[in-house]
Amino acid sequence: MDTIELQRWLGVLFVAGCLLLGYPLLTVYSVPATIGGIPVLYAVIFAIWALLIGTSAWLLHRPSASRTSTEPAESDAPRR
Amino acid sequence: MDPTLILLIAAAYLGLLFAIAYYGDERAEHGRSLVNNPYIYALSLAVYCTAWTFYGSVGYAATDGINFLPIYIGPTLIAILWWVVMRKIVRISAHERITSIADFIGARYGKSALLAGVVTVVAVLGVVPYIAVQLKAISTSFSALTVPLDAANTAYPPVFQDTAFYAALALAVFTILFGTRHLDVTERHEGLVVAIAFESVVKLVAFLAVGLFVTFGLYNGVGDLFRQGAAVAEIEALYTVDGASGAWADWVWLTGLSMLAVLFLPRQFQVTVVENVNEDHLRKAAWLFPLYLLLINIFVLPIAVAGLLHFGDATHADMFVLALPYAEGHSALALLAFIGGLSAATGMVIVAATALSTMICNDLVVPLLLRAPGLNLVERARLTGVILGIRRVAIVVVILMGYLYLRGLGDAPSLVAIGLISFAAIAQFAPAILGGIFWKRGTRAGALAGLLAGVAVWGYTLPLPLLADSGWLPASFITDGPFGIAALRPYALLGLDALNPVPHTLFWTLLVNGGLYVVVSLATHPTMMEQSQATRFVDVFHYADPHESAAPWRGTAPVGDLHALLRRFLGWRAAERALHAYRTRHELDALPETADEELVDYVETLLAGAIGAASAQAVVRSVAQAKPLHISEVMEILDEAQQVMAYSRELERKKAELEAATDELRAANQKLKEIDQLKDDFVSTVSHELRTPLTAIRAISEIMHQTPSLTPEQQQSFASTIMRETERLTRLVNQVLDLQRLDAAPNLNRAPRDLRAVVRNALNAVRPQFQQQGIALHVTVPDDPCLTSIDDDRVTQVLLNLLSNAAKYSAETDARVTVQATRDADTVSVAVSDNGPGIAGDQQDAIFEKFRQARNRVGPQAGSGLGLAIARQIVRQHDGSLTVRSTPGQGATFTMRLPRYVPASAAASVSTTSAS
Repeated sequence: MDTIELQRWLGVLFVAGCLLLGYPLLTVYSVPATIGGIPVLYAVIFAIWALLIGTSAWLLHRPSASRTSTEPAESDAPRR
Repeated sequence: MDPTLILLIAAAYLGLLFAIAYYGDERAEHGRSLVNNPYIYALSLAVYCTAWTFYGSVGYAATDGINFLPIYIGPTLIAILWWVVMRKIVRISAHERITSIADFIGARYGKSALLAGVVTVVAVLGVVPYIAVQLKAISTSFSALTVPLDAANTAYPPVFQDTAFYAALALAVFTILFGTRHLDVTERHEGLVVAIAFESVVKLVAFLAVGLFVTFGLYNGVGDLFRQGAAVAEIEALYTVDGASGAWADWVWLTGLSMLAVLFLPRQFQVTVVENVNEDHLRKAAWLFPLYLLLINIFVLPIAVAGLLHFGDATHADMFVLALPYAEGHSALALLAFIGGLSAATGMVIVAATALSTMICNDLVVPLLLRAPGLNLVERARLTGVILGIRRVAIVVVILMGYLYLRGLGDAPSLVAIGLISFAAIAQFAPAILGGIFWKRGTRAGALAGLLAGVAVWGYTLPLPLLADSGWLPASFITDGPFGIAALRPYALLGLDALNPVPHTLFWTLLVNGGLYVVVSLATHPTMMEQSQATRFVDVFHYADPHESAAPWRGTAPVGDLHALLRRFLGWRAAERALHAYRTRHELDALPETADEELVDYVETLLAGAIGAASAQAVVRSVAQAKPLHISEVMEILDEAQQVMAYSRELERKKAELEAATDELRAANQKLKEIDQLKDDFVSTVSHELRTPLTAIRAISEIMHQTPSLTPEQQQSFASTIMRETERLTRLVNQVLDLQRLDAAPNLNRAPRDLRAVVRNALNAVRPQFQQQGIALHVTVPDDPCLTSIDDDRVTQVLLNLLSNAAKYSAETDARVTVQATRDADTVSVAVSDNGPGIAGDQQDAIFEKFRQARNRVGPQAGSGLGLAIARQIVRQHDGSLTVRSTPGQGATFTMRLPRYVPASAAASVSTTSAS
């Protein structure tokens, strides 16, 4: 997966995140109930949040995601 | 708790911070950077979480429940896109040595000093209240530990007994020490970053410790805590979002707002972009930072619920984090919370003040000083000290402004309110930056118009009403609008009252800002410099080397002058190092005496790091031999293009010529072939014509030779046939010879003649033949002489040919031939008409062609077919014309026109001479 492809997947994840953590989907969970003692909305938001973090970490750190051959100036170590 | 103890601990903490920062700088000096580490980088980004997060989130949650979360969900979402958006900004900033967000915007729009200055002012306006919030948090948390909660916050002590004041001073000192230690071309502060990362750890640990204590120390886990809370209706309401009060709209807007804030807040730009040492660190930071946000928020609601349960109301909700452990007698934990809050506040103030001071210095003060007449800043020997001095003053001023803001506004708005007002100001940079890195067409005028309009609307709809809240303006300003104009109510502009104040502002500002940015950009034309910068920004990933993309401004300068500039602005060591790096990179033993465009560009970029892009440009141009893209060079470029175009046009022309020549050749070839064919035909026809009489003659001769018994009548008849055939042969040969002679060299014996006489002679010659064949002959000649200069033998030959043709082709019955001579001013002419079958249109030209007729011969009577060709040739040699006009079925008319002869001596005599 090259940089462009990675960027597309990140774009998809971003849109998904906006939908999942936004209006109106969250209204579904805005109910006075609990999951394991935790209010549903609170639990769901943090669960999705964690899921997003995990997915983006996975996308960004797949071995092939480090390949950036499409762009020439990617080589350098710290810039100085 | 003993204030002295707290002060001591706070001082000790700040001392530790100093030590860490110093250590970080030391490591950097020796090339063993601590900052080149994605975890340090990600932690430094957590400067996003200020005292506003540490104390304010709980306060917000205690009144509005889960609604505090969008401020952290936004950054989480946008962090997913960092690899797309932020990486580009980081790359651009590395290439252009961008040192602040003002520098970034100014550089993008043609290194505009004006735009950078405006951005700086907006950033200061937006961030100073935020600094005030931090100072307030420090002093509030201090008093929360030293005086009973209810007694705190009532009134401000005099300045010199005010904790906030001393906190401000201490922070100013720290910032000066680590934010302006030296002038670096990259404007990075490694020690500072390490200290900030450490602070991020401290505040997270402190907050989690309090959270765990509250949840598991005071209650039996989250379930228990939430269940107890649910027993109170007001608390249970916090567990959900109340859709009725526009909370969902707030949710969406605040998510978007915080996305922009985390991208463009000056302190975020400082740690994310300016302090970035390796682009790849963004990869880890893009998920570590959201993870940090998740962790620091996970106990916010539980602490809020516990605080409400414990204290009964939300009056001091901003201090629950501190007050809960303190009230439960856990002083150590309360102290830890205090340190956590302190670290959150100090981190924000230090980074924000550093970023603002760089902006104020590079984008506001230095450009003004450079333009100040008589100051001649560039001529000064050492400017490093001056610049550092400016920054130090700027730091003190910014932090003191925060303090004054705090004192001036009193304690009216909550932490969250001020924070969001700040965010909304910063969001005004979004169109210019996002447009700037993805849309080349955005212009300086567009960015400026959008920004100014956006900020104006922001100022009117958010901070201004605060003045009404504080009593500086009448309350009716908010409720009825200024001067009672309802459409101008700051919270319901143009009657839009469906949104809460912050989303309301955000809607209007982004609409006005983004709209003007696009419209004005499209309506104006970027300058050469803007266009060049636009390309450098938008297409940054296309360039491997920042100096590869040639700047439109091209100049050369004495290296000595450039060297002196670098020394003045960066100091001796940094200048030597930079030039050495340049030599190494280009494998030069020594620098040339005159710097080429690339070196000039390199120096400008280095200086941009120290004093901003716009100022660097001005300074370099002051020494560089001004060699802007002169009109002549533009012309040269255009010329080159034109030459190429001219060449291609020339090629095109040549090609067309060649094609035409080819066509001509082909046509000529065709013609030759045709003529060749005609010649063959002619030869065969002529041979045939010659053979026919010869055969007849021979046959008759043989008969006469072998038959002695021929009667004299028979002999007579045979002899006359032989004679006739011989005549025919002679005629034929003569004609061929004629043709040949006419083609070779006309030998005319021209003299003025009366055409009427010539016609008469010819008619006399043919009249017996006509009478014999029964052809009626009608002749019309004018009364006046028709003088023309001719060889009369030749013209007679033509007339005879025409007459014999007419006789040959006139109708079989009632045959009639008309001869009409006419004259007009310039010509005399003879027309010979028959009433025969006529000549088809397509044949009318062909009959005059030399060999053509030979092919079209029909009938035994026909002559050689050369007659008309010879006739036309003769007439042409007399400068006349021979034409035919015919309608098939109604005969044909051949007309010979000859130029009329007018004697030069007596033109008049011609007309008076009467003849016949």
